[in-house]
Amino acid sequence: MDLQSGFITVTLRSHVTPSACIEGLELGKKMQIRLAADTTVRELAQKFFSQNMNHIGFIAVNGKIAAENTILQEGDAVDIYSLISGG
Amino acid sequence: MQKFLRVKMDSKSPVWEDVKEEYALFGGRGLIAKILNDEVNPKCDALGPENKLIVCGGLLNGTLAPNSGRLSVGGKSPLTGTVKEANAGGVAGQMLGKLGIKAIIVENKPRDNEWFILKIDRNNAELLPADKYIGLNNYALTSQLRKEFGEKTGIISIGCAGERGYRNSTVQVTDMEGRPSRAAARGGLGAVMGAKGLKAIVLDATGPADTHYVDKEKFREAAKNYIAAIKADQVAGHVFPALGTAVLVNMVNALGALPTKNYSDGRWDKAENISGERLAEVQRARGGGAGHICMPGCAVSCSNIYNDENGNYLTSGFEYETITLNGSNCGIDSLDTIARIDRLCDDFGIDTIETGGTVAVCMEAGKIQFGDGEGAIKLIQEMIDGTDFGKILGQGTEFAGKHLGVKRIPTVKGQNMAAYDPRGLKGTGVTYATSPMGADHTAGNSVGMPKINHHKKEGQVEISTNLQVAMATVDSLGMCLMAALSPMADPVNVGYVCQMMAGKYGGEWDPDRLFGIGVQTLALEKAFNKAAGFTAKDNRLPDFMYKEVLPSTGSVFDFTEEELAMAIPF
Repeated sequence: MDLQSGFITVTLRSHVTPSACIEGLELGKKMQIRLAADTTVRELAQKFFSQNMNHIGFIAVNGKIAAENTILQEGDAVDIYSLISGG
Repeated sequence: MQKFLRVKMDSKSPVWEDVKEEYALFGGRGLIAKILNDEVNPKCDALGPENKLIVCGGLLNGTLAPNSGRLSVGGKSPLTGTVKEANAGGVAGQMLGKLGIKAIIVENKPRDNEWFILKIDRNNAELLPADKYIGLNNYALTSQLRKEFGEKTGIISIGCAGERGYRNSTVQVTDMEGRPSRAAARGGLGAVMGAKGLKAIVLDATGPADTHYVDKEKFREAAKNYIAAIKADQVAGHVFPALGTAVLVNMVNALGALPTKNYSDGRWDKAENISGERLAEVQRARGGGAGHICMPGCAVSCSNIYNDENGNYLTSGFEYETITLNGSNCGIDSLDTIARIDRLCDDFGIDTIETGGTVAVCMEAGKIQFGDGEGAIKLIQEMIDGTDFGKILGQGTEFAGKHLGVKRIPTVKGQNMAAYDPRGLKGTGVTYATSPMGADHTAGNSVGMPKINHHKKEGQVEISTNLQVAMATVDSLGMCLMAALSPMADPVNVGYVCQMMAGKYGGEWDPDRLFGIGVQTLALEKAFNKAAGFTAKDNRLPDFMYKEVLPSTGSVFDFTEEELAMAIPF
């Protein structure tokens, strides 16, 4: 935990290729990233997917669909899901 | 010039027919609907001589179009009593195109309960005695047939479930490696094939394709652009090749629509154990995994190979629906166990969706406990062994559920729902209720629709209608939905499909004309069902979906009959 320095660490897993570089990210594999404390779901998406937000279907936090204004907490698991139509 | 091959089983005579002009722009699902309306009594016994088994490719079959070799199988369904088209990947669809066959129409039944193999090559079609193959399931059957007729043949076959008339039985198709792992699964069409005395169709399409184009260069250019669009697409070009359709497990769980313990919940705390991400991780170590191609000309490669813990092949085409219906819906969190179930189903020739639903109602009835993987396999083994109870299970979820006195039976028009709880994914729920096929996610699945609240009903009838038209079109073109839905969300790519149709058939094609194929198909299917005796009152989900709140979403299925009547109003 790094709260005193104003940062949190969350686990990120994405099914959308980010438009910004996230070193070490592979589709569908979890990795840890550091974010500013009080980062919202919307802000995380804008930080890494600003050029392809339309590829994102929804974002889940800790296994449940999350509102855009959800403030991320230390240790949260964030999943970025694409618009998957198959099955 | 494409031909119909009409196979009269009573006189043992395959006859080639010219295709009438009025059939020129019918293919796949649309062609099946047309033939059923023109030739089959809608009130007939689906397993009697009046029904017909129709096997065909779509309008783009045999062409340079990517992912255009789906094999459509159709007839009146013995499970639902409705019109039925089920399609599969594998090699056989494209072989029909290469052989110049627009459709195989199998009629009547043999006089003396005889069994046959239908062998087709460039010069001949003949019915051969199949006595030595009866009693074989699909893996042993296709292995023997490939030894006898050659490794390059494509095979369409039934296992013992189809022989015995099980209403959950499939028609299996061999893949690129000759394994019978692809299924035209829904609606019991394996039993229709079995009722015709037809154990397998063996296709030898050696040699070049002789496909006619009005403007081949125009077609080639459009196909090239469409392939590039697939490769660039986030889902079709990146997610599916890496993780396969099982990637949906975690996503649908997060939405709260993952069928769990016989549709009693929509979220499961063990979903991660059966996810596409876990599958990829496990198979990386075993030499299997995603990125497998099931049919020639595939630009997506969403299929997979599942190896057992010793690294030996166990099954392939191990998809989200199979994993969820036999996983979370049964409380089973072992991918190895679910993969064994998938292998048993492909081999015996039964629908994995219907099977998972049937096992789950047995669990609800207390025959075995939720989570009992070995118990689930024993129930499937009862079907394979043909015990009295196994025969009941082989009639599908609704029949078995009623027999056991279960109140939560997740069927529409007699067919088990797929792996989306309709209270948590209401657009798909509208499709389940109103599709002429019965509960079928491939008829119009709303899970990928952007910027809507899937738990609310607003806008869902329109979404389902648009998706049902799109899917009826895609199924009539013979395209794989994995290569269609996501790319075709972009109008530019729809333009490439229109250009391919113009290159193949001539004339002007725009989106209205293209999707008019879907409208026409749905109208024909509804006409067949109406003549079979179905009414708007059949367009309804089971009662518990309207009354029991889904805990994960806090919602029920809250559409009135009048609201549902607004869907697919053609």
